[in-house]
Amino acid sequence: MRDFEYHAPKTLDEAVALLERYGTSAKLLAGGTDLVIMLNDHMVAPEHVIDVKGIPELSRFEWNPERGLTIGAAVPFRKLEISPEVQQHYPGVYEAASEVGSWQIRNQATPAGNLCTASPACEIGPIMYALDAQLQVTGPRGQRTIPIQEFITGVRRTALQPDELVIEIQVPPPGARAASHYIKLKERQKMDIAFVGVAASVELEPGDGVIRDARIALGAVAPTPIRAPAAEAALRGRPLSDDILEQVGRVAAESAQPIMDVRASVAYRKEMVSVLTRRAVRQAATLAAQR
Amino acid sequence: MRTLIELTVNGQPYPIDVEGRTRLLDALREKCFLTGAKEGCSTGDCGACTVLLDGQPVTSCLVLASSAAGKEITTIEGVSAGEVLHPVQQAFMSAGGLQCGICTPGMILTSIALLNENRNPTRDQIRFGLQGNLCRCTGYGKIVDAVEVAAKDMATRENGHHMEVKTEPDTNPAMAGPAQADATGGQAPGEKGR
Ligand code: FES
Ligand code: FES
Repeated sequence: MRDFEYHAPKTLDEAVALLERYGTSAKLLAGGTDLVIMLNDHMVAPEHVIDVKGIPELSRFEWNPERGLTIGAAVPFRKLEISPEVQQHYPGVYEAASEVGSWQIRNQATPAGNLCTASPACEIGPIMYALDAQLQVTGPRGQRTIPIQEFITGVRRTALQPDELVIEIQVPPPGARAASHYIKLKERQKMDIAFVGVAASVELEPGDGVIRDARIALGAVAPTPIRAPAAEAALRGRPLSDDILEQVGRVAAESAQPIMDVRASVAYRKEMVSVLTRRAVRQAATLAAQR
Repeated sequence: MRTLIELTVNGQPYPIDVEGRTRLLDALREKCFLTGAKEGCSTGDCGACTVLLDGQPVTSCLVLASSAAGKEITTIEGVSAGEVLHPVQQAFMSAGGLQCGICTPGMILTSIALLNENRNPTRDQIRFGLQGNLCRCTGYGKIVDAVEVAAKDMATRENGHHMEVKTEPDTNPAMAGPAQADATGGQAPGEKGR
């Protein structure tokens, strides 16, 4: 690992000033579980590392019925995993957070960092797409809000400029009869990355089982997490049935563009998108009906 | 760039000079001379380097030393009360929850953190807690046994049934094997038929 200068700003302004001064020669550090590995492997060799964990705004972690869930950029996955509000209002976020790495890794790694790394198998990506999350970022030109689908732009690429940093992830509040679910398919029970990840968020009409709205997002089957709009459309305005789920799974698999690699073939991944989409939608709808 | 930082390890201050890139694992081993935390993978996968940071387990191979300044760091060296072993250490010995011992400091620290949060974990909860601690000697069954033994022991102590901590290295079955093997140069009991 090449040496660098370590900075630990205590305020957002200080962090922005450092980014403005050092730009592309600096790297931001939150949990460190991606960055320290990349430093070790000489994949990156910054002259400056800016540790953002000491900035109080970035540790904000709040739930509010009007504004939804705020996840500061320095909040680790473990906070989401053990939060009663997350378990109650965002079951899919709970599932995704508790699937990440190990207890140790979840104590360190952050959802914001996970989105900034923007790996195609990104753990928290699909559920954030399914919940229409957005990111609040800041830099020398001021703050801006970026919808999640515009934030991740490609494999390990984001819309974040070299002099910007993420302040927080904002997840809108769920509708009155809405719930979410996430399923990660992997070989080992723990400490593994997803072959396929499927997130679904389903909202039911008041009083019956008709689906008012649905969002489905797929992970690890395209360069970025993707939504499956045709599958979502097939659900809207219909009551859930086996026939509809069959169709939704098939349509979702068509929107996937998986690659073949050592871990799985294209056909297998597509088939799994279909199966997991059916399961995730059914589970989200079941949870929503209990509200 | 070298800077002076102060780490608080096992309640003791350690003023040390580090580089920006110095990892907590290296600072502990090479600057504080606390070699209990082991380097296995350096990628956060094995848990051999586990230490507690403000009571929570982290992989010290992925933490920069400078990031850990100002936090309470607990390493395996800090869990016993002098010569008196921590109940989890005692249980790993009595249940035979180790073979080569490389994973053991990490296993014990994660187990202590687990029992601090959940005094009476199920076997599944123990497995879930230890998901980031790999043992290449494959002693998982006995490791889970050890955590169960420790949980019972700690519950008994809290209920005041026996306050005294017993360490009986001479009669402990986990210690008898190697000692005898050394003395005779032959096979340790229990290794027969392997
Ligand atoms: S050496 Fe740190 S997790 Fe393996
Ligand atoms: S006892 Fe050898 S690695 Fe666990």
